[in-house]
Amino acid sequence: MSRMNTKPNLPEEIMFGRHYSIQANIKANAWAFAAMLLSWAGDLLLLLREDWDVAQRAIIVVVPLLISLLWARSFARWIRGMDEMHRRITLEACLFATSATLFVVTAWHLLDKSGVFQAGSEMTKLRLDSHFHTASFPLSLVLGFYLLGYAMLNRRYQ
Amino acid sequence: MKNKLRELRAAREWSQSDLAEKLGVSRQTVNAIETERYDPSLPLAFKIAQLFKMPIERIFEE
Repeated sequence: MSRMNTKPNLPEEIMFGRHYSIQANIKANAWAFAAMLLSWAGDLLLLLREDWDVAQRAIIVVVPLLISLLWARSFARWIRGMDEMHRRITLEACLFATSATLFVVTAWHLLDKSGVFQAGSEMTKLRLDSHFHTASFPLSLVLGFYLLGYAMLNRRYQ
Repeated sequence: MKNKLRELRAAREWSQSDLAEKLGVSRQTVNAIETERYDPSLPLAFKIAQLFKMPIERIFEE
């Protein structure tokens, strides 16, 4: 009978807690950190260099997105290294996160179109509608829903 | 699904970590199978049966 010598990856290794491993986090998320840093640097550059033409600005915006594809590949490899139960929990959490994010973003967009946020902005002096137009809004939602989904699904198997 | 994994493991004086290492899964997965919260896939069930040198149906039952 074949015996596996490698320890399977654990989802908790990339979440802060007692199982957290910086090596595992780098293995799974290094490209995400790189994309995030480049994205911040790009935002700063776009603010400082408003005179640059559209092609240059587009390149600055697109590079972090291309790098995030490398992250998707390394994260998929990380998931493949899990055992079957944790792979199942993680994939279900990913499905929950993307579905919930799609629902919230759609609802937000429809509410925005109906003028709810504009009315709210006028009353509170906060730019509620502007959150929808930033990339960090859906990304934060995906991350938040993933952690929530993972916690709920993981509890089922404890 | 009911199973006899805990008693089979205890009879061999293996810890959950020992069994997990032999099966190439995490300790949490072994615990979830033993407490019948998670039903293993067919390949993993075969692996368990091979490890304990028993037919699958003697380890797992409805």
